[in-house]
Amino acid sequence: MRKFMAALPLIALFALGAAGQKVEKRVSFREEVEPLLKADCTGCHSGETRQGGFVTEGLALFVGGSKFAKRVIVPGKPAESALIGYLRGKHQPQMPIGMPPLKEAQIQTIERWIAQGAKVDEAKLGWPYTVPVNPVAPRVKNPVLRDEWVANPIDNFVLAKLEAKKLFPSPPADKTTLLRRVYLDLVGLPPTPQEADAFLADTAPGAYEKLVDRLLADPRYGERWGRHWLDLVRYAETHGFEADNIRSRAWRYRDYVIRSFNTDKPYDTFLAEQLAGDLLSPKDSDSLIATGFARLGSWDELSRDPAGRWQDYLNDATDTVGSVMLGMTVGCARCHDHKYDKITARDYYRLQGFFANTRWSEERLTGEVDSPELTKRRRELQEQLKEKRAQQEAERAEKGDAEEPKRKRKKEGVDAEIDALNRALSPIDTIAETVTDKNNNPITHNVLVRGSLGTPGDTVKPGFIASLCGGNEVDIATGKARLELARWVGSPQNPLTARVIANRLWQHHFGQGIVATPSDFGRNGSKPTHPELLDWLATTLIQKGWSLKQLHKIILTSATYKQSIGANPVAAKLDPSNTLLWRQRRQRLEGESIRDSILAVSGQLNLQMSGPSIYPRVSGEVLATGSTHKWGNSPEDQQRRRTVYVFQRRSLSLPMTEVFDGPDMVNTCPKRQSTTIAPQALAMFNGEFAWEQARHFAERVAKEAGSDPAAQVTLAYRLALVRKPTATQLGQATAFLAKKAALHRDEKKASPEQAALADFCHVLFNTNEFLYAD
Amino acid sequence: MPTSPHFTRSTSRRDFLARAGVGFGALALNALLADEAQAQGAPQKPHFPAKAKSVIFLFMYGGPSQMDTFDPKPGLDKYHGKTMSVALPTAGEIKTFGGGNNAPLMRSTIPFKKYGKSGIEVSDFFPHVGGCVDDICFVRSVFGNSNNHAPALFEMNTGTILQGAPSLGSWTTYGLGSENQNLPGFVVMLDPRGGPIGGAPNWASGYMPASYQGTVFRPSGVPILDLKPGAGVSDENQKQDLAFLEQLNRGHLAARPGDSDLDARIKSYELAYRMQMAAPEAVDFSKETEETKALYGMDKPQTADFGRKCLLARRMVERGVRFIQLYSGGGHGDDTWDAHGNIESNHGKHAGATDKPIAGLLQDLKRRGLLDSTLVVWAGEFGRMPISQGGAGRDHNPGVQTVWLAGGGIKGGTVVGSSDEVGYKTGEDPHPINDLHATILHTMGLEHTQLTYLFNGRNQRLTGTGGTIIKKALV
Repeated sequence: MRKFMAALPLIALFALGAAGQKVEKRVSFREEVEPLLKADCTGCHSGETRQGGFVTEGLALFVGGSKFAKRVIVPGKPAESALIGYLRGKHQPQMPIGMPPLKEAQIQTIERWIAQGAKVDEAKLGWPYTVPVNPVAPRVKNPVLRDEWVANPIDNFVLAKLEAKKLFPSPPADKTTLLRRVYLDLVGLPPTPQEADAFLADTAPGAYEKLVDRLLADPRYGERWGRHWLDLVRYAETHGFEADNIRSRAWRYRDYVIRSFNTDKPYDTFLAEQLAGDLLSPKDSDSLIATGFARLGSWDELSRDPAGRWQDYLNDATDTVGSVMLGMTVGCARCHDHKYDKITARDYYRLQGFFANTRWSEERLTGEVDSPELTKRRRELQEQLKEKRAQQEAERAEKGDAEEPKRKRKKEGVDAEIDALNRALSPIDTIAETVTDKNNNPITHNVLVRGSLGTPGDTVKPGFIASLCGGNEVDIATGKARLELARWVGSPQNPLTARVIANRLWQHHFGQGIVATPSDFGRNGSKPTHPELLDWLATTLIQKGWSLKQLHKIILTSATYKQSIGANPVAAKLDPSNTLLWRQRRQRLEGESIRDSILAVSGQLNLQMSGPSIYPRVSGEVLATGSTHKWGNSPEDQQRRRTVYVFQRRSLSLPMTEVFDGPDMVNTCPKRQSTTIAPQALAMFNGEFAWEQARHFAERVAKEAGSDPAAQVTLAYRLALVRKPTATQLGQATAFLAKKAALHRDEKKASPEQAALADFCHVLFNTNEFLYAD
Repeated sequence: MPTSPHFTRSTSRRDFLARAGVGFGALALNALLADEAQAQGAPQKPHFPAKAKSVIFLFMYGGPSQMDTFDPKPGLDKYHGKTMSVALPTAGEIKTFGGGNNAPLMRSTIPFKKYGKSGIEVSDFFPHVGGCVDDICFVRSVFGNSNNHAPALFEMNTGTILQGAPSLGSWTTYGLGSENQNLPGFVVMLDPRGGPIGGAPNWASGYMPASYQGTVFRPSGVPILDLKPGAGVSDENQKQDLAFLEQLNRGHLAARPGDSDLDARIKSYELAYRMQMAAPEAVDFSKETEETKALYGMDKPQTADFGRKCLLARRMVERGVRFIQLYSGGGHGDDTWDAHGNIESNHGKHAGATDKPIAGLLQDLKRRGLLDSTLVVWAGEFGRMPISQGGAGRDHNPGVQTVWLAGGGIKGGTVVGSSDEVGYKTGEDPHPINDLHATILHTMGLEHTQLTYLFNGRNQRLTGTGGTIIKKALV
């Protein structure tokens, strides 16, 4: 058969037959053949490692033959092509060597392609390499749903897919469920009973929209959503590795992120500031602080291999830009062309070139950059420092010693005081950790063969990933290269940026992205469940001036978002993982939200924003797990601040957030895991924090509800679970209180009723209802 | 579908759905969905029949010196006091961590003796381990990629010098789960002087779920963080609280049937409660005989701490714990094997504290028939330099170190590979740490190229793109 096919003139293979005749499909080199070669051949037959002189990159090279076979590919004649001989084992050794042979169907694909003339088609850049165009929302068929359910175009897209499967959406969540959901979603805290009452009493049309607006304007929004961004950029305040020393000014970047979310900074500007804030004009304090983005990775201070360390740093920065901003796993192209996506090793090092010319710097910030309290504290320290310096000078003059005294092993007196003041001032001084260019010209950079510094390859200029530029290599030849990168990343013409961020927003609102692998839009990632909807969201975001808050509002006011998590056996059978969104998804709260909600409910939460990080108490046994016991001890009122302000040490996480799948601060974290493990139960049921807060919670309840057990239970339910208990639950709870009070009395506890109430409050913190949002 | 130009908005939020054609049957709340989620950590089948079911990894943190322990170097006696350029002209410039690159070569002051039928030489630092050589395979040609503690620790524990990859124990529990659901599958016991440099990332699960990370286990008192409620919470109190919690959670689940996450969380409290019983039971040595305790050196102050940990490791193996890592050395300096100043005093102290317990562990596993199904690994994060540091100490050396393996699937009484004449770099059969990892996984029945986890668009492996099984070490 193969011989027969090869012998046929090409035209016969493509006889454009009339109806009924079998027409052989043209094999696409780009889509079908190249991926096979890349997956199984390029490991040995590429770049510098051209085993046997045979190279799979670029057709011209491999049609040209190798030292073992003159004619690797003979267009039109698969049987005479050595490539096929090796793949079929006719020539030895059979390829790919040391691996299972290609499947018969795969070899036939290559044979058909050779038989068809071995032509290389133009690279077809399908999704996600092409710029999204604003799609028209599909018509939905069911007139009642169209008129009464659909709230905005999102619902058209979702409903159209459901209708195609003969499925229906779930009924809307009741007001209380929706209220708690949207609070936890947007601000990461539950509503207070007063806020709940106000919303439930507001029956006017638009009450929910008003609520969404209010929450988006609440500064807690930036604290919650800024944290999502900090996960992506692996934000930490220490270098990691051996000494794990502190980056005492890193908190300015954290505050910058929170501020940017709160002021609804256009997303393109947000990215531009982080990529090239130092080159923007005018450059303000925020754009300088933002460049700290490129310094967030871990850094081995004690490395004896500075060149290797710098290369590790560049790799980390490049990979992060790729996966966080572009949703592409560019890191796979560090050692070889990406095996699955259209990113070459050349692209990788061209992208890396944007950072190769940078150096780390520190910049003085101007204007009022801090809160009044912090500014006041800084001025006080500066005043004291001035006084002490004057004192030092006077003392030296008195001694008649004009020269600097010799360095003593340990400083004493005023010298020691000055040191202490400097140490206190340094982290809150108006200085930002930034990056800047080494010189005005983009320096050329080398491709590293197999990713190794020891084997530099071609020299390249900084440039964008070709497949995201319609297949063209665009190099940046002039100065301010990172500014060009920022413009390209934030351009409406960039196929990925808007899609990627729209998908991230969607993921947090629905528990799963339209692309379920939010930092991998490539072939190994998940296919979008609703590609048109994603493009609609992306183009809408651009139309709205890259305003994330406007996109949030559109999503949150859709009927799709407001669905309940009802059961539906028919839908569950047809779409068990709910990819079509026939209902909302239940989400477990993240560690931060759990800790913050506990503090809010117990009445202990300190809502102070910004400034250097805080250190909640960590037990000695946890501190003993590291070789460096560097953990501070914040004043008690500071320990009760939101978790986003907790110090981020790479070698030691706050156990409460760590156990609930907190990010490791070294890898980019595009999606928190949601595990269910016994240590979580131990932390919540036995841990000191939950018990301490339960006691505060109980004190608050006793104070506000008085001594009537039913009133206490009702208030505790309203505070923790945002609803009143049912009659059954009220009965169960009061019975529990009585039983526990009796037990405490037997155990000779000081105030048995109060202890029982604390037990009850503690149990509420542990309920699934508290830990999940419906 | 009847439509009216004057339809009135329905008052019930479900009403319009009824009119839209949604049968109420479809909304019934009694539907039970299949329980898709399999409990994480349940035992899984290996890729092929395994020799070892559990691993005990004895981590000598700080970097023990190979030429003073398990790799005798007559070449060092020969060239003692000479520079490397004389002994090994091809070595090129030596790069030490602490400077003093041109210091003279320094012989070992510790005598070596032949042991067992195999006649393998072991230094007087380890006379008891020497007695076990016929069960041990010494790989004298392992090398790493960093001469700096943190990256070297990360490489030995996670396969890469960069922070953030899952550790060997995580990969093992990811691949095999745990035989005992009442104890963590991956347990870490630290030195009382502190943790290793780098801290928790050494036993972290990196980009894998937290369920695969190591749990720090203290050999006495309350073994696991938050295992016991604070003071004043009696057992009866806790039982009543748990019962009430379950009542609330069951009521909550009844209204949300089929949600496997909610169900799993209810079960996680039951598991935590069982762990409260099982973990203290594991550290309760009251049923161990005095003879056994003495075998581990628990009767002597010098060896009591590590002996206790070794005995606990055996008890965990018996209870089906998959991966147990023990640290000798904690904190910094001479509290670890990091003998910059003086090999004799530093290693004398640490070998003295571990030799008897390690030998006791091997003997005890053997006489109980557990050694065949337990892999014991002895390693530090790197070896040490043949040249002197300050006259009596040695600096870090990633160029070569000795790692030894014993038990499940390992050919005892063998030496694999060698270092060069003075122990500066590998000689025959050089093995990167990836090879060691591939071999450990192999004994567990896991093929290292097939044990993958998709992250950042790649099927990540413990062994990266490398890893060759050290066949000579296997039975």
